[in-house]
Amino acid sequence: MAHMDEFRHSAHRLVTTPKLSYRQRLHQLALLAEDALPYPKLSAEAETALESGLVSDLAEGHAPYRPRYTVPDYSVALREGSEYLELEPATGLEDAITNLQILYHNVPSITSYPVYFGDLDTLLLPYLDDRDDTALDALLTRFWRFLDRTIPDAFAHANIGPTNNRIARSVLRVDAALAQVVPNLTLKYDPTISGDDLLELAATAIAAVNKPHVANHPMISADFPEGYGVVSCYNTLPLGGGSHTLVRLNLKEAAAGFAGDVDRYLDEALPAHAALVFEVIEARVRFLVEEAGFYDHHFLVKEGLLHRDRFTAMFGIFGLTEAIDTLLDGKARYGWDAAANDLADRIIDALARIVDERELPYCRLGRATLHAQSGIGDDVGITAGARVAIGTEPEVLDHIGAVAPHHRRFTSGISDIFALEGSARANPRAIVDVTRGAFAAGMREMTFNVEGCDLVRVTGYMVKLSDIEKWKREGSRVASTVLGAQSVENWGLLGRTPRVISHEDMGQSVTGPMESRPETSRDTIPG
Amino acid sequence: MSRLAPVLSTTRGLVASSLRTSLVDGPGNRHVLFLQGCNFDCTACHNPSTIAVCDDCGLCVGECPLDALSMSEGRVVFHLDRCDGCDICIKVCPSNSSPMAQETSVEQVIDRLRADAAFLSGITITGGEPTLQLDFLIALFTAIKEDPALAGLTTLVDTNGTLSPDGWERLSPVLDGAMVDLKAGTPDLHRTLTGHDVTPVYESIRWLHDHGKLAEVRLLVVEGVTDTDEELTAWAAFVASVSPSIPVRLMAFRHDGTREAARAWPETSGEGLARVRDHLTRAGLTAVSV
Repeated sequence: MAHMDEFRHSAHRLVTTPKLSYRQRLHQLALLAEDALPYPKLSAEAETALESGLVSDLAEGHAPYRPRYTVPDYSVALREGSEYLELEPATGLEDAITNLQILYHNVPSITSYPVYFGDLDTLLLPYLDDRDDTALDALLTRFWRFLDRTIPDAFAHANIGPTNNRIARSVLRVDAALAQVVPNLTLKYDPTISGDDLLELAATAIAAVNKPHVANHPMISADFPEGYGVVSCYNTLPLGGGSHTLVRLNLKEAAAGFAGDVDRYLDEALPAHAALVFEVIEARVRFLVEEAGFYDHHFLVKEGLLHRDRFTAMFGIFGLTEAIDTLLDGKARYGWDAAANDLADRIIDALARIVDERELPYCRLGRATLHAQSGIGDDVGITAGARVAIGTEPEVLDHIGAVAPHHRRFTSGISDIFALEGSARANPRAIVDVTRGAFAAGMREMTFNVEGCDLVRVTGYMVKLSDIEKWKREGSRVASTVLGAQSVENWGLLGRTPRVISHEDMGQSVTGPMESRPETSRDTIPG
Repeated sequence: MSRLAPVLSTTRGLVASSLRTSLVDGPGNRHVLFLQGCNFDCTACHNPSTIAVCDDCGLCVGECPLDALSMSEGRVVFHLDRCDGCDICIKVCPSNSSPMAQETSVEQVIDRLRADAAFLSGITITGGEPTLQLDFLIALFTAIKEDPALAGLTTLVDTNGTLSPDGWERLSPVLDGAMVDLKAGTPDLHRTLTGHDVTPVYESIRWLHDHGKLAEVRLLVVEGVTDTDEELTAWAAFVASVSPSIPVRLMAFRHDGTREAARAWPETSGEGLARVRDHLTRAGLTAVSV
């Protein structure tokens, strides 16, 4: 009965926590109930790895009954309508937007909200009429307000590009003008298709609101011939599919005990630890597919917006920088020294090979995909994904030179955030230059934080510094703000490089002891 | 007294430092070279160690805690690999000069540019006063314009405007633009702040404008010094006499890097910059930015 008492106690605290909105309480209660179920059967070793944090499912829950990330092909429903939702095919722009809004409220993911709003220009262009830009901007402004107010979760992500078109330009104008947390935004950029003008418009938006994130379209579309969406924290996933689950390996923990012994780490430790990750992935995928039967019953699958065989499983890693510190005994620093950068490449190559060699049931191409996981607020003293340690990044071109060689290995996404001085606002062309150069150097994705914006990127999603301040007093209607507050506090996240530390922002917003989260709140971490 | 300009072959420059990335030295992302040596000695200079050129007196050599400086055949030699940038050598120098400037060949700069070309809109040479090393500038810019891999890069200088029209004439074929500091509105204040007559600066601005090579004219706004009504009126009158549409950029004065005498002046406020912008705009200048 002790368990039951604990459960009741937790549930009671959840429903009485003033800072949680109604919707947030409902979501937390569902998570609590899910975790009252037993975890899918694992070996004792895998259980120990989960408990110690060597391996983590990022609090996905004990009984997966929805995929972690879904990337529906909304064009199917716009074109053909939806029998389940009793929707006719869209015939005009307002129609198409309304149908999308309806669909969003029926799309599951780990956050309980959709993580992907679609490639909005591609989806809406067939319905664009001859209305002028003023009218188009006004319509998209209303759409944007709807998204931010009804899907208050910054992991929800809209994509535009790679073509330079009227809707993409309108999205960039409207998004920068509104400066909302939602939607997160990615521009798919292809130097042979997009043109400098579109990238320059995006650069101006970045200088204002730190959005959009820019994706190297030729590189990513080569990995996903069926199309892809950029969702949540820089996850690049197949269109019409997504990812069943994300399980990450703590490379820092994995390197413990291997100081100075790189070969044994690569040959013995990594494969053994990876096997534990695969075991957790497989157990979770089997439960989702075989027991929860998501792909048998959900209308998005039946109506062709999702296909089970387009779902991958994400093999996440983080703490690369600390692993290198351990393995090289601090003699060379990742980001700064060739020996450390070379080791980073060797570790990532080894991981990519391990992931390629392991067959997994019910996964796209029978494989998982490697992912540099962007971290969560609770990660203290360990660096997200394959990033250089926060606050010790070298100058931007050296930084790109250090990380670009392994970007192509991260099929399901990698993030490195590049901090720029506020002077970029007067010189957005510089953002264009750095982005183009970065893609030529092999970067998969580019993200900037420009000093002095209220809207900042934390791990991958957006947070308003002013919202964090407000959350400390009274909670936030935006579900992801609490995660952002933790990350800013625990990681000194605004100090990405010595040249661009935003001390003003830190001083005004998040100095002093951060109130702890409600103890009973167990946020699912979208990653 | 130290030399003003280094004596080097035409294909080598005396480079105080360089940046692979700069967002504030012209349009786009730019590679920046800071050349050593300046003929002005401005109170407000934020790179004062680039003014005087090392005269090899050797006083700094014994003071370096990391033995990054040595004497060889009467010259001070700097060992970059041992330096941690503590700048003690500059502090002990009677001329406040940096012995860390490196003789750098055109080829070395070209190699660095080739490596970074995909990330750049161009190169900006500043300092110090870059035009004191005119032969090096011409050789470097010519090499950039002749290299197919670098042909898209623009070449800019950031100058105090004391080069003669003959000098600009020589540089012009390989120069895309000059950003000229006009440090005061009245000749008297210009002499007070820089120690030099303003006439050559006026001549440079006119020459560059007439030949399509004037990228912008800059004013360092020091509140209570360069932003009085009299100063701004005179400043605007001169620029407007050349052309009211010349791009004008206002620079905020900051204490970073400056010497003691400049610290008595306040750092420029946002309101101060806006006030100057409005004043110059009212006076008829049409392209003033902050």
